[in-house]
Amino acid sequence: CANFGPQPDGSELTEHWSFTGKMAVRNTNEASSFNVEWQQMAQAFEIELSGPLGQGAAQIKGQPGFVTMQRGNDVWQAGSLSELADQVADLQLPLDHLQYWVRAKPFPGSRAELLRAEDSGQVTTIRQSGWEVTYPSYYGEGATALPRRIDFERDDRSGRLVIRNWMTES
Amino acid sequence: DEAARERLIDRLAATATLTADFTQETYGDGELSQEKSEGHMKVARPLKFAWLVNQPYEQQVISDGETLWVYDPDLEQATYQPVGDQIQRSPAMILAQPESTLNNDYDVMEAGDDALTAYRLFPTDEDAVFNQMTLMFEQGEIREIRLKDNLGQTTLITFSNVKTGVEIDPAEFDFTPPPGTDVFEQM
Repeated sequence: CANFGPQPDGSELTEHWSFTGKMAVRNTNEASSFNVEWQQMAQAFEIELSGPLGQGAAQIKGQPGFVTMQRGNDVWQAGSLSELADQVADLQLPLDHLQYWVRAKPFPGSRAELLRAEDSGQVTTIRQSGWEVTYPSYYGEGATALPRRIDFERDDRSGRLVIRNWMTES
Repeated sequence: DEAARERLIDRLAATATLTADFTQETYGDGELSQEKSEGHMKVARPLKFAWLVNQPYEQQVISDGETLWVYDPDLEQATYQPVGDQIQRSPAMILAQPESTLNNDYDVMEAGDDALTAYRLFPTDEDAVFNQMTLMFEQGEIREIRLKDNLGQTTLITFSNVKTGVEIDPAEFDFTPPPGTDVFEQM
């Protein structure tokens, strides 16, 4: 079926979670979009970014202190996701922050300002590391519901992530 | 070989229009299929096509012969680019413009008989997006396109309900982004 059933709640998220979605990255007048598969196993993660036909697929694997990315025959290595993003020209994405933003949490590494909706208590905005992150929609009404769409913007760069399916390790 | 390329181009260019339903699956080596999508496609040569994915998530890839639009409704985003830049030789481009997309950038091998014929394409430049592409024809009708990329993933597109030479209203290839859609050039 099209949607993989009701989406889990944030409170059910243990150390192991994953999602599939679609991300658009943009600068002032150009954009590209790609599929995203993110698997988190405690501190270890695997992220796959691929075009509509699976082309240009990039696989990023990592754990604290060691991250590798493979795309085609090229391989990059770095000590962290942000270091990796510095090395790979077209990967200007705050992936380390996104690991938390996708769950409507601030990145623990730096100061953040959080705004919540009065009625639901859901996070509406996170301002952190020069980025403005907004949450236009969630899966459900409760304060611990998981985001369905995340927009993030800094200077002339912006991104939009639609999470199509959340999976928690039950 | 050269003759095989010509036969493939002749098969693809045989009729002015083509419509079909398709399913598409991408899977890694040995893994189960990661995601199966379904949709409908229309082609009017040269260079006009509409590749409409309906399930599980909607996406529209539409070319009016000059501009190629990619519209993702759930992202509320549409990107556009000149069709000529569509260098990745997507299946839609190959079906819509075999003469130019299947030029000498590929070595072509043919196998099979009239009932079932397979054409295997090997790109000559090594940073091509696909390192192998196979087109299958059954009784002269396109049945399948299989793409292997350099991460060992295979994308299989299967066609059904194939119709050729049907009347297609050119307006089907004109795309206007719905209100509220963010519009960008393709990066």
